[in-house]
Amino acid sequence: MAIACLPWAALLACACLCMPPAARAQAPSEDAVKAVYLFKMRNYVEWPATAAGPAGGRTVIGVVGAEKVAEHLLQIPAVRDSAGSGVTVRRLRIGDGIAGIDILFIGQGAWSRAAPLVAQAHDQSTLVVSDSDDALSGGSIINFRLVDERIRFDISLESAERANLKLSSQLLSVALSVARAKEK
Amino acid sequence: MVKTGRSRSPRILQKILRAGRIFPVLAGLALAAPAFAAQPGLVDLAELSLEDLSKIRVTSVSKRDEPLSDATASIYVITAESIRRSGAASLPEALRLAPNIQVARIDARNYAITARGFSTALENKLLVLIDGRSVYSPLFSGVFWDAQDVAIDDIDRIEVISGPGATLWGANAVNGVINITTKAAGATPGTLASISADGTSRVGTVRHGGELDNGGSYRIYARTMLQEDLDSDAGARSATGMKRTQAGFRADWAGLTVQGDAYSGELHQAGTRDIRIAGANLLGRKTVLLASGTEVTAQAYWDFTQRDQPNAFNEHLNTIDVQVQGAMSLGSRNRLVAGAGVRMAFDRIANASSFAFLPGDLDLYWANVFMQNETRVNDQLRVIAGVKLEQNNYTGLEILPTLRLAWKTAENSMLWTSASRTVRAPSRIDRDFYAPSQPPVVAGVPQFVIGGGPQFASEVANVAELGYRIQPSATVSFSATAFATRYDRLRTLEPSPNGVGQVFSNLATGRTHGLELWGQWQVMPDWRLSGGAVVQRVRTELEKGSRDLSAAAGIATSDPSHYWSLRSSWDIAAGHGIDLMLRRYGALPSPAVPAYSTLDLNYTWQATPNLHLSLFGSSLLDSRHVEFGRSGLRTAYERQVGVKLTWRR
Repeated sequence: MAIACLPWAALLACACLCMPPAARAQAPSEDAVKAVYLFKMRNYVEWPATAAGPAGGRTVIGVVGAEKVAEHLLQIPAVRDSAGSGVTVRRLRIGDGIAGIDILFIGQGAWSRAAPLVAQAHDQSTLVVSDSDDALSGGSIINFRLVDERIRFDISLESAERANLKLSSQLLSVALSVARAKEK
Repeated sequence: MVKTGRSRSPRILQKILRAGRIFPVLAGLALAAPAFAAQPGLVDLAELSLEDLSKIRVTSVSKRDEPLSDATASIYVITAESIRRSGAASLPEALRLAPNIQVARIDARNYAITARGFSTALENKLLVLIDGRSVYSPLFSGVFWDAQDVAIDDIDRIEVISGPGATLWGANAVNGVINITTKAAGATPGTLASISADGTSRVGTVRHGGELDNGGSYRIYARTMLQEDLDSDAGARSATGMKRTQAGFRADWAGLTVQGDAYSGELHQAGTRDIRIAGANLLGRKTVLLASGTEVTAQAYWDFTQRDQPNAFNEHLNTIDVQVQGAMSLGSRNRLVAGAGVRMAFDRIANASSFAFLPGDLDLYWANVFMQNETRVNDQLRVIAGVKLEQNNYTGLEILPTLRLAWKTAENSMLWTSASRTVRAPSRIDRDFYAPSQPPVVAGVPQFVIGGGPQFASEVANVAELGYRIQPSATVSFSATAFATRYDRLRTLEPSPNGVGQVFSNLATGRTHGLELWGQWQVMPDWRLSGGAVVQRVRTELEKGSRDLSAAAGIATSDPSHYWSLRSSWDIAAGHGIDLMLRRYGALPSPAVPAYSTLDLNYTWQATPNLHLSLFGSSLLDSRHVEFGRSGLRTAYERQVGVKLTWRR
């Protein structure tokens, strides 16, 4: 095989040989990254004083239709030490109530049936997070999507307002896109 | 004359069994690798800031389930987002987004699409799969692009691999593999309607997705497209327009996918009534994760396609394909993928007078077993060795091995190299093509002008690659692949040994080498630049003794020495985006086509949560350009402006 006839190949090889080897880091899964986002969201959201909210110091994250995300959430060291971090994770099924849930992640497995959950979530100021196409137009507030092998998210401020939630500017600045509320 | 598959089938098993002795050898090699250190723990993601989290690369969702940055192949992934932002309305146009593929539009409905050279209207060294279903025609060894469609909004990703992929995908994955994957049904809930139109084409799509009683999801769609005839560069109308209607469904539940499509179309052809095409397919795939951690995927599909081409042929082809694949970890160092598959095709051709596929009715089969093992020698080094043994009714057993090495040179960079052998196995056009259909007979010898290719053997390619990928910062990534390929037994058209007419033979060789580069730079959170370039040299020559009469029979290639593209994606405000794509395509030698540059622009606007609007202009630099074919006959593409409206709820 005529690899020797490739001057570029030789050049590239030389360039690479000069670089020091380093430890190999395995890329995390999509679900792991989504779980960490969910865990961190509470720091960037302001719940109304009237809502149960994590005002009492304890944040309850509900997960429906995304078993692996729930598993990853439960493996985050700070979540395992729930007393210390003040984060509790609840796995839900589609028929379950969501009273007391502050952050609700609705995975692709449940999104198409989630309309009643979303309505209830808006009423009780629950932050709805999803990872389905078009979920923002269905009332989700934060929607993950995969862009260039990275998990990014879009935000609907209109839905956030409907749920009476305030999102920090830091969160907005990381978002890929922010759909503003319509003029009233 | 031509043996049918059945008469030889008992020998297949024997051959496969004999060849199976390779497997223990490979497995032994892989297991003999030295022990390596335990995996370093995951980066503690929870410690990362929101910004850093958004820059973390995640494992790709592809079948092989490896991060793209770890792939030991020249692979580029076209995402759903980039297709949406490009305004592409058809599969071939979407493929222009991949920097490692040559796309030349031949006329209103035909394309010459290849990677690493050998571009012709009958391109035959690129394998294309739609959701695991091969759309490579065993009749003419290539893809009828005018018969293939998917709902563009339903595409999840298109993996474009330039280079050999035969060990996983089988014969004919010589110069590349294109895997088109649609979204899971659960990812497309609600209703979508879209219409896209420019000066010469219109596409309309409707889709509805919902839930199944058993907890799964489904979607159904229908789509219709119309492409008008276009003018040649001499100003004459060329009858190559078409219309096509397609509908289909997909359902996913509990690891099971069932999907199917049906289509029909009318394709214009000069001087005759329209070519009629029709087809249907049904596919089932189930993935099971066993307690041992082994993942087993079984897939079966049936595909029917008909092409009734006046003055040529009327083909009815039924294909049945069954395959099983397992992926398992062997100890902490080895990951093994192994599988087997059988495909049968029942081809029924009614021939016209000018040429014929003989015999008209032929049953074809392919059977394969493969295994590929990846060994982690240490934290830096991986060795991937694999082989596929594939049996076909024309040439018997084909051995398709690959050996790949990956070396993590640093946290953010990887060097890889590969050596592979791959073949293009004969299709009916190589063995069974006769012209005219009913020749005069002189002294008992039929006087064919072209008398098939009774001895035609597989074309062989031996490929070496060296690739490098680096991500110098969170916002910049870069990939380079150098390749060198030697082709043996390329197709030629030689005087028949019996002195009458011509037969297809294998008396040419070829050499190609080149460099594929692409990179991406997220300049600002709302502005991304990406670009790619290929420089290549493609040479073919005739062997001693060849009296090849028709360069057009397949060895003549018409490839650019270079092509490149630059793309800018800019979110000018929330809900407003502007995408620009500048492409440059080098001159083609034969038939000579001048180099050209084009600029496409697409403006996207999320007008309301339910309504998405996109305005696009293509070929903006010149009033028109040509891409392929002889002067005076080739199609000229004019500057176009178009619009696409998408409504969802």
